[in-house]
Amino acid sequence: MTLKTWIKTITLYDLLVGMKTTMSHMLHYKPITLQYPHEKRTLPDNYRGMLALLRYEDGTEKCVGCDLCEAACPSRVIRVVSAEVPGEPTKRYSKEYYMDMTRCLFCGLCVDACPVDALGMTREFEWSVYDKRQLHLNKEQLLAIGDRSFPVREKQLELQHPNVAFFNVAFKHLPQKPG
Amino acid sequence: MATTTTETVRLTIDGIPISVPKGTLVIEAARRVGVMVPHFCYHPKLKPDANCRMCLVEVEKMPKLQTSCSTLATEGMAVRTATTVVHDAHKSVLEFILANHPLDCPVCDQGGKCDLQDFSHEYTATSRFIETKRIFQKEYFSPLIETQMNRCVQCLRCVRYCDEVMDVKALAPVGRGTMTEIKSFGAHPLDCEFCGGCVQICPVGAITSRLSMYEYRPWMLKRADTVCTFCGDGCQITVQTKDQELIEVNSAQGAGRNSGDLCARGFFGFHAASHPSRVTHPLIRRNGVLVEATWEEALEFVAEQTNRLKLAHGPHAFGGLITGRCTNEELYLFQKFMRLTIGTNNLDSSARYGHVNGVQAMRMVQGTHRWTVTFEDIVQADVLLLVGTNITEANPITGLKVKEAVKKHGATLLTIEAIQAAVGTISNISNLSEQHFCVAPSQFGAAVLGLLKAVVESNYVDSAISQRASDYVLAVSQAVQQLTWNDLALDTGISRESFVQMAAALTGGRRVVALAGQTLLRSQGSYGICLNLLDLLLLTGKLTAQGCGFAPLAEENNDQGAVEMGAVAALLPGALDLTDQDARTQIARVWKEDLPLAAGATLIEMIDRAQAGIIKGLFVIGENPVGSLPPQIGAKEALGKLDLLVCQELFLTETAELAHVVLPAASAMEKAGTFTNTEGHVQAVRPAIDPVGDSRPDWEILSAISVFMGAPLEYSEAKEILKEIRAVIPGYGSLGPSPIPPAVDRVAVDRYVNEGYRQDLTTRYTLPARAMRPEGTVQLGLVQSLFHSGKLSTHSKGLLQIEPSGFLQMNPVDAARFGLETGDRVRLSNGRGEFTTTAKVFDRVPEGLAWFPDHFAQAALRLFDCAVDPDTKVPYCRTASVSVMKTT
Amino acid sequence: MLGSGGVTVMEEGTDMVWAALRLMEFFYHESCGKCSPCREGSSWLVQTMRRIVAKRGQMEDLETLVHLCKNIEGRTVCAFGDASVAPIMSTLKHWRPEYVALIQAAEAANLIKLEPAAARH
Ligand code: SF4
Ligand code: SF4
Ligand code: SF4
Ligand code: SF4
Ligand code: SF4
Ligand code: SF4
Ligand code: FES
Repeated sequence: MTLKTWIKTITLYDLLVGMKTTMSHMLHYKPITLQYPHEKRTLPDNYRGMLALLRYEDGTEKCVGCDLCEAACPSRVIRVVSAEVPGEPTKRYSKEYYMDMTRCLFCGLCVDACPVDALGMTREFEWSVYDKRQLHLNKEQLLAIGDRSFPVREKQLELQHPNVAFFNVAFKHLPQKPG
Repeated sequence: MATTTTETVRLTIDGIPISVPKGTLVIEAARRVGVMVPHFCYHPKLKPDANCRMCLVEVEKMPKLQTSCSTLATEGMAVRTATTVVHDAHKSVLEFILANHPLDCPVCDQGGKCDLQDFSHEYTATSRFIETKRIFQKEYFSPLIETQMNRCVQCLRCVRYCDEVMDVKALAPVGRGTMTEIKSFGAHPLDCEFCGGCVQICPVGAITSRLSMYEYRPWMLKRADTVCTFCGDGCQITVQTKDQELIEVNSAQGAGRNSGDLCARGFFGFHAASHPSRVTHPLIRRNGVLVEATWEEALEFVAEQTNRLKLAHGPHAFGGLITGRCTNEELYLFQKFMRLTIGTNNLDSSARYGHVNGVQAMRMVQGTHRWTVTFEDIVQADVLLLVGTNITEANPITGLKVKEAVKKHGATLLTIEAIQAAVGTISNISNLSEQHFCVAPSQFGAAVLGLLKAVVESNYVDSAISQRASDYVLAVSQAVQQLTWNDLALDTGISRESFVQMAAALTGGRRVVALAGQTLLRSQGSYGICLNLLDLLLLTGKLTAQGCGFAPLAEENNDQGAVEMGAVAALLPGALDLTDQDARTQIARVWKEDLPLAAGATLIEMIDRAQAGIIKGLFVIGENPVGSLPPQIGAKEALGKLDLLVCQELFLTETAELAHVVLPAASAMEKAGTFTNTEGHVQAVRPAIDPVGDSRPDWEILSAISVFMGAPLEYSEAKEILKEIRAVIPGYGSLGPSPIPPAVDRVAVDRYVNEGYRQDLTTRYTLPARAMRPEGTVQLGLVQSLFHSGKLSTHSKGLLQIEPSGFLQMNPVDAARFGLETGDRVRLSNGRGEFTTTAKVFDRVPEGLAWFPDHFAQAALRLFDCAVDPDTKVPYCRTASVSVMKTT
Repeated sequence: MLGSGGVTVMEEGTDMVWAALRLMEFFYHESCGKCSPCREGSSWLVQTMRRIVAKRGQMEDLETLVHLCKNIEGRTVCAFGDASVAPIMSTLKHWRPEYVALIQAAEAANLIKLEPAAARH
């Protein structure tokens, strides 16, 4: 054992090296705790918060009631009751749409599953409630969340895509057969 | 003719050797070794069409790829389905099929059970298609069937099914090339049999059921395999439910006696069980009105009153009626309840309306209460004789078997029906027949006698029978000699030559099946006519031969079971005579008590006795005598006089409205048990949903009443009753793939030809009274409609879409005579009353007749008279002579 | 020369791509629509050809054309499918430069460039 190692051992040098960051914090004290709710963090770009149902530009609901989100959800949060849009024969929509947010694990699988991008994850996270029944949301509530979180809306799907000229329209609005 | 060859060929599929019967398609052989070749247009029910090209496989020594759905397996063939070439071919064909396919899956009802989806997943098909997709204008198709032609892959399965299997030909491909589109004939919404076959057979979402549109995804549904309750064919149905809600009914390919085919009632009629007007709570009459009560109150009331009446007036002051829609277990328990707990034989079931005619005739001549043939025998028959079956409407699936025999196996069809050959929106069996006699129901007897006369006079009598029973043959010959061809021709309009021709065809057949249906079994004198038909088979030597037999068709789904369970006055369980000493001891041993001996009253007799005040209490389970018998019989007044009328019902029928207590019964969708179909096949009924409201299965109710009465008949589940049934009728209800039909009992036949026939030979060998048809009148007949069954189906929203109300259907010639057109109001009247309805001109109604559907005939019933068969006590009230007048 | 057993004589200098399109239009019109490859294939080919002739083609189209033709050939119910691809197959073989010229003209004019990524789903 050389003198150097002996001194290092006696002064607990390795320990000091290890504790360097901790020690320095002790010296220059700067708190990192955010004073929530007075202070708020900036959320990462792809933050997965509260779910919402979206609308098209003209205000119609995007959801076509396909039940795929219900099938995709690993924790059975979603329940869709689909039906024909009243007054618009053959057009499908979700007559009722429920999310039991107490069970949601914010995995985003439902958003991925949705073929019409009718679901979105907002950046809302302040959803603590006193009664957990309040987290059982219906379609109107989910649409309202979408309305306040996604002010910019997409155009109707059928007009977007040259090859999807026919999708979930009432038959009275059928586009003409191309000549 | 089906050549049931045992010849086999050996081939290899992907190296796996297999031997299959000659004539097997490669795709079927592949399926046997577990290789699934993707396909769209192939379907085991249909002839190969090979149009989708999806099933291409490589066959050694063949230059091009072959379609496995149209290539027959041959000896030494080496098929490869898993090579790159084959895979690429599948992928490319899929790419073509997807080229014009819309991206509709999210809104398509087929999503999740779609062949195209599955194959696209399998081949991870991507498309390079960047052109404009073809789009069809959406046209209104039908209120029950939804089409979305953009999704069609033009496999023509629907078209072929509708033609080959249904013989309806309602669909056709219209247009050419990519613009080929499936449409119904005519510029109007689809008008067809609504069998739902095209919905079931479409591999994609191009044809779907509008009734359940957008209500479900396949993975949400719970399935229950059960049996349809709408007719005696006993089709197996799979009821699909979502949270106690009835969503859809279908039938798996090859399942049950129907092998996956259904009729409109089975496919679209399932909503009857969930109709909002179901009785969901027990009702007791208090101060003249029916009010809700608890089960305890209701049962206590029934038990108390029953015990009181029994003490005061004895057991024979009671009667019981049950419908043939109940399960075997319920029918059995019902007769046990009546015979044991009450102690009377006054009990009857809906089999009394007609089915007993056929059964008693069979018992008389061949000593069985069941068919000696099966559906398979019908399909394999080479001559089929249909007498008054109205088969398309009354027994659609038996009708399909007949169609299959004729269309696929080239059988000769002979028909004696009250129907005119005509092309219509629903299939017409007489279009397929080699020889068709269109006679009025009242003259079926004459037509059968004509056939018998032709057989005797042309020496077609089987030599074996003339040797064995010369007296019988002589008696029959003499009896038919009394009839003159002239009279026969006047009655039926059929010449001697035609009779001889049909008799020759009948005698020439090797496997001959004679079917008698509802129209015959419910028309006057039908017991005698059934006996004559059996004589006909006996004389031509067709009764005892292999694959031959007589087949009376049951109308209600368990009429056959009702007879076999002894739920008719004169028969014990096992369809044995009430006086049969062996049977009585056997039953007494199981029941541990003797059963009453006094002959019981039948349906009409019970009503008469109630009228006379002899019967004081009546248990009615699902029957509706007030609603189904003409008012002349006075059922309403008679039941009004009762001290106790207990109804176990689904709906508040005309009879239930008179009841003192109405107990809510569970429908067949809500209970377990067994049904016996018309050919004697016992099939399991399974609950698809929980009983609606407070309703309970009928057997539970009966059991509970007996407990409250202090004479408990206790069972914990329906299976226990079945166990007891097996103890009484050994071997009953062996559920299996195919029933073993009982054989003709030779002893019984001998008894018949030596002795039995004498009893009524002369009466049944006289011509029925010639129908007098004064000017300005028609013979009004109550008929079965394809779209309804009894009154039950009028609670089904799907069927009401097709046929919401009754029309008077009339031949164009008659209609012209009365100056009527479709839609005109018409007044029918006779001495008994009058009735106004709407007329409809209908090609298939024979001249001089007019039809009105039984299911809506409530107000028309007053026009009818009722005659009761002296032997079988069947009430005949299906025809009436009425004068017709156009009104506004 | 161009399939279906018929001989078509054309003037020297005829636009072969146009000629192939004309023949293809004929086959498209005549296709009965029974089997999928011919039914869907002929409409696809015609649409692509029309695009090329209208100077809206792209280089990938040529490969697609060849593929489609090969996929139709030998996989149809009747010989019509085999015949219907012959005009495109033979013109592509012998007059490929004419096709290329048309497409290059299209690309140069940049009339429309279908975004392949967006168009393929
Ligand atoms: S985020 Fe995940 S857990 Fe939440 S609803 Fe969607 S799929 Fe279900
Ligand atoms: S996946 Fe999208 S369109 Fe489908 S039901 Fe869910 S939210 Fe609606
Ligand atoms: S038919 Fe099949 S592939 Fe086509 S849209 Fe419907 S589910 Fe999708
Ligand atoms: S509708 Fe369905 S069954 Fe009929 S041709 Fe089209 S894909 Fe085939
Ligand atoms: S539902 Fe109508 S069109 Fe479809 S197969 Fe049956 S009869 Fe034919
Ligand atoms: S009504 Fe008769 S034929 Fe129709 S599905 Fe039911 S059992 Fe079958
Ligand atoms: S399944 Fe063989 S060609 Fe369609």
